[in-house]
Amino acid sequence: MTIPGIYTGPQCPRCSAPLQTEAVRSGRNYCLACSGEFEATTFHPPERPVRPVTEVIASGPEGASSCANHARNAAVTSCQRCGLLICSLCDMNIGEGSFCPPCFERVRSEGGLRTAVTRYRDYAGMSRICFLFGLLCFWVSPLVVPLGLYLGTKAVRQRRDEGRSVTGVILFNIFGVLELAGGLFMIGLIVWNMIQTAKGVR
Amino acid sequence: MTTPNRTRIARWSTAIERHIAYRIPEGVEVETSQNYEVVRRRVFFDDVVMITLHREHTPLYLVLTGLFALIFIMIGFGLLFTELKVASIYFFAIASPGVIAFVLRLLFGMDVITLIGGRSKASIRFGLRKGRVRELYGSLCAEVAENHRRLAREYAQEAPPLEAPLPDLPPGPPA
Repeated sequence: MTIPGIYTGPQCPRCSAPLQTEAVRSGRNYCLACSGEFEATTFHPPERPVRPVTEVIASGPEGASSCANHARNAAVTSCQRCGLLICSLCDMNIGEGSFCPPCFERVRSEGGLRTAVTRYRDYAGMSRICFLFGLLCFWVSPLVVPLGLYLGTKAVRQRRDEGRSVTGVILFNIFGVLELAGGLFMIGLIVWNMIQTAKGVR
Repeated sequence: MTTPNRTRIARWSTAIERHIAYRIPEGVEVETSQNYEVVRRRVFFDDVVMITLHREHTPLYLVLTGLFALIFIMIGFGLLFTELKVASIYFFAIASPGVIAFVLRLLFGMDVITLIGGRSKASIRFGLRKGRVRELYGSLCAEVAENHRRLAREYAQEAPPLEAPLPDLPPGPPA
């Protein structure tokens, strides 16, 4: 499992040493730490304008509801989960509705916010490895291929949720079913052969 | 879980990890897969302060592929002067992928595009598609510049109007 390191700001693309962005110009540059050469194009992102929070007194009689967390601030919306009135400071909206900070943390940790998910299991890859193992060792296919099919079904559900194509996963699942049938047939053949041999010996 | 409308722009692997870089409407997304656990990292265009391009030869890769090739070539040469001459072909064949990988990396290196943002960074690596690297570097720079221009316009429209300047003070009393 990869644990992303803490990013502390612009770094050298070669050695990851901290980089003074003011010292870097568009064109060829050299890192002072590693002396490595790199080509750069610099940008100056525009600064977000500061949005002042409207106070309850200033908002007038029609906008007089105050925020549940900041009594002096006027509420701009309500939390989608708990219904608390929240001001623009508390409004945690990443395109999937407004949440107050505690609800946002809770929904995010439960994986309820699709755009905030940064870590997930690759069920499709896991099912593929099961099918491959079953293909290489057919005598264990009755054990690993059903597991692969189970993981494949989870992968289909996961990809549907993501809005991605499921064709590849379904094809692999069909291949898994055929592989299971083939594996069972081969095992049956071996067992039948063994029985026949035992009968012949008698 | 993922952003729809994303297009794959690069794919590369290391000894223990697989990486896939996607272009999403608002930035670049890199998924790192290790032991079937996928970790996603995004760099948004509105946060990018620098895009860099450099070429690296990754010494560890060169050493490993070189050693792999060298060991099998030496065995092959050792067998070449014995009665098992035919067996040497087998060892040369095993060594050939290592030789090819070593020579390709030595000649062409690996081009790396890095998007450096204020809050995160993402690297996109290319082994052989050199033309694609330049094209992608140019298009990313153009898109970031366009994004910043658009944001600057939006912020300018959103910004509250400047307060009227104070009227000139009346002339002071004569000294």
